[in-house]
Parts: sequence; structure tokens; C-alpha cells
Amino acid sequence: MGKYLLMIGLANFCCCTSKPSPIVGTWQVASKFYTATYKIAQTKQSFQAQVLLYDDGTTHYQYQGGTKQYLCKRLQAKNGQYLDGMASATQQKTNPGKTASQLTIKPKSKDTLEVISYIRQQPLVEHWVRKR
Amino acid sequence: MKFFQYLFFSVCLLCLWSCDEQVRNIAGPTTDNSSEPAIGPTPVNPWNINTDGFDLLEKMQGHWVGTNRVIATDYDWFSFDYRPISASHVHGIFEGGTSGNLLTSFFVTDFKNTRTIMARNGGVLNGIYRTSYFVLDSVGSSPTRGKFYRLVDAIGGRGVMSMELRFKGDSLYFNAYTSRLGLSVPPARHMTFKATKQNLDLAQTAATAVGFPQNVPAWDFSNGFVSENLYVNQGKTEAESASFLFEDANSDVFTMAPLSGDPFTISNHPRLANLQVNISRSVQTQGKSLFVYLSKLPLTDTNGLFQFQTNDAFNSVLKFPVIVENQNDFLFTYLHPGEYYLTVIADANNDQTISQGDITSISKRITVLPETTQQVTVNDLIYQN
Repeated sequence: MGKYLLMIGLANFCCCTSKPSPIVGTWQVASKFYTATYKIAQTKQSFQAQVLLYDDGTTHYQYQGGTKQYLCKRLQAKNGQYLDGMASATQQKTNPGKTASQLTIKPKSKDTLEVISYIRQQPLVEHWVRKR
Repeated sequence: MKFFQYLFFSVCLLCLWSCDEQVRNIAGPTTDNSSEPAIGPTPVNPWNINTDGFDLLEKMQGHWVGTNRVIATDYDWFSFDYRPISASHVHGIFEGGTSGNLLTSFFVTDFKNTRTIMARNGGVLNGIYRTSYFVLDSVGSSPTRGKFYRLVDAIGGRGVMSMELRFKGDSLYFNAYTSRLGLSVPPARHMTFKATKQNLDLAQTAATAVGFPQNVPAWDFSNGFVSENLYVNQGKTEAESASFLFEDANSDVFTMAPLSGDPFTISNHPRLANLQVNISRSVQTQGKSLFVYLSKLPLTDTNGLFQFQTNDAFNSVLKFPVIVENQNDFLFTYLHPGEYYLTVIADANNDQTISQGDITSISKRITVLPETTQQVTVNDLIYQN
């Protein structure tokens, strides 16, 4: 019985101390053009960025339970960055025959992410700040 | 027992708060509040302004100054000068200079058997003439967020293009969502203009002159569009947008407009004028970009020095085109008649903004008369700041 308890304790310790991904958490977009808060969570296969708040002046959304809205659902870690490029609808054409991620997240510090999205194939660089 | 009473009132308060904040936009139950993006053309249902919404024209009037994000480019300072040009038509244009311009006017019309408001949006950009027509399809209001209006592509609906405007006090929130005329759906945010009303008096003067506002059609769209004139995307058999295009890098708006099939062109606009500015470059301004500004207040003193001690002068700028190094003239089109100060500034230090070291002309007062094409020459571009 003591061995089992020790093993469960060790397993629990390992789980608790495994380093979470630096992008997991709640993030606020630093922008003077709109307000947005996203919650990034890790699932078995990917990371998902759920929209908690979005307000661009005319469109207002606030998650209050019920159906969730996502900025992206298939973020994959690659070389220290997180790319959303799994769905063809979100892929950004760069060169003929090649596609790049529509959304790229680069951790810049513990509390800051650099996020690159594309509008009309033009990159838009924004910073997200961790919300505590 | 007190605990349950407290819990009950807390839940009630939470529900009340939720009612106001849960909506995706503030247009209320009359609007499609679906949070799912529209993919491709969607139905177009004009809003009857005899019920509500006619006040959009009055609210749009004024000189709006603020910030703008166009696609992925941010402008820390931007303005639109909206004034009536007829009893039921307000007009504003961004004059970019060598690259082109972009206008959006709002007017009363009849469309699909409904008295409504439509918007005419477009201009000439990099040699492409484009005009797109939008129709009002949603109006809503909220005590906390003000009044909201949505206009959608008059053929493709919200699934192709839309513009949303919200007015709260002296603030305007103006967003446009586009899809390259239906080629890349769902539409993406194209423009985010946030502004406050800098002044209303220029618009009020125009309103008095034209008897604005009146709920009468400015242009007639009761028969819709001539379908064979509409632009059809490559690979498509019919138009998905109420847009008209013509491309010719060597032609101007007056030549391209009738060739585009646009039902209403620059020549159909009452009251608006043109102003040709000819610039004599001094030696030190050769090869420099020029800012050709029209403002309500003079930007320089009588010695040609900037008067930017306060923001008043700069925030009175109404048109702010930039012309390239080898260009020595500029034609303002779709220009509101009235009094302006004309100031030309050479970007001597190539920092793409007005700053110390730039060379100016002395702000010159000019009067632009309705429905004329006037000429003015600037030959004092010599004052070093």
C-alpha cells in the first residue's frame, strides 16, 4: 500500500512540476484599434485560443458560457513557435505551391507574445500581454 | 434565509448585466447576430429608413479626426471631412496623393421597393477605378453603446463586404470588412477608423446651402443595377458584388468612370469641385516628396514656420495627399467647396512626416467655388523649418 501511495505521489509530483507551455494562459491584445482577450489552453493534439472578449468598436463579443468562439483551434508547436496552419482556410499563400501559417505566435518573454497574422497577405504584428 | 435572498438578487443582477453585454453587436434583435462568419454572398434586405435610420446622414456630418488601420498599416493620425452635397447626400474622401484616393458617400434612395440609405465607396487606386455600392440593412441602439448602422454589399450582402458605423457622443467607430469582391471569403477587417468630431461648422454651412437633411432620393436605384455592367470575378459567371471596375494606369477618373459602367460617376455629384495645384519646386525641394495639405486653419505663420504649438492647426487638416519626388502638380477631385488654407511641405529629411527641417510654403487662403475646376500655383516652397 505504501509503495502505491509513493508511486501515485511521485506521478502527481511529476505532473504538477512539468513545465507548461509558455503560451498557455489568458492574454490581452495590446492594440489601440480593438480590445481582445484570448485564453490559450492545451489539448491532447494542439493548442486552442478561445475568445473571451472582442470589441473593435462595432462588433462586441464576450464569452459568458455556452458555445465557445475560437481564434484558432489547431496551434502546433514548431521550433519554439506556435503555428496555426492546419486548415486550408487559414493558410496564407506566400509563394506558388507553398503555404505559411495564417497565425504565428512567438513567446518573447514570460508575459509577452508576439503574434503575426495576415490580412490580404500583409503581415500584422501585434503583442499580447499576459492577463493575471 | 438572507443568504438565499442575496443569492437571488445576485443572479438577477448578473442576468441584467448579461443581457447588455452578450450581444455580438448592438444592432439588437433586428440584426443577424450570428457569430459564425458569412461565407460568400448572403441575402440583401434593405432597411426602411422611414422607420429609423435616416439620422445616419446627420450623424455622419463633420470633420472626423482619429486613427486608422487600413489592412495592416496603422495611421496615428487620419481624418475624413463629411459634408452634405445635396439635401440627402453626405460625402467624404481620403485623398492619398499619387497613389490615389478613397471615398465613401451616403445617400437616400429607393432600392428593392424600400426607402433606404446606400453608400457609394471607391476611388482610383494605383490606376484602378472601382466603385462599390452598399445598402443599409441594420440599425440599432443601446443606452451604453450609442447608435449602430450596418451597410452591406448591395448584391453580395454581408458575406462579401460590409461596413459598420457606431456613433456615441462625439465618437465614431467605422469598420469595413472586405473579401476582394468575393474572392477571399469570409470577409476580413479592412479598415478600422476611430475618431472624434473635430468640428461641425463646415458641414453646417454646407447643410444650410443645400437644404440638408431631407428624406428624398438623391439617386434612383429603384430598378437596381444593370447586371452586364457589374464586375464579375474571373472564373465566375455572375457578379457577387455591386462593384464596377476599370483599369488603365494612364487614365484619370474622368476617363475611366464612364468606361467602368458605374451608374453614378463624378460628374453626377452636385456641388463638388476640383482644384488643380501647380507647384514650382525650389532647388532644395527637388527629389523630395511633397505634402499638399488643405486645412481649416493656417499651418504656417507669415514667415513660413509651422504653427504646431498646439494641436489645433494640425487637427484642422482636411486633405493630406502626398505626391512623389518627380510630381509637380496635383488635382484634388470630389472637393467640397469652401474656404481652405493650402500649404505645401517638402519632406526634406525623408522621414515621411512633417518635422523640423522640412521646407514649406506659406499657408495660402483659397476659396473653392461649387462645381468648378480652379487652378492655384505655389511658387514659395522655400521656407526651412
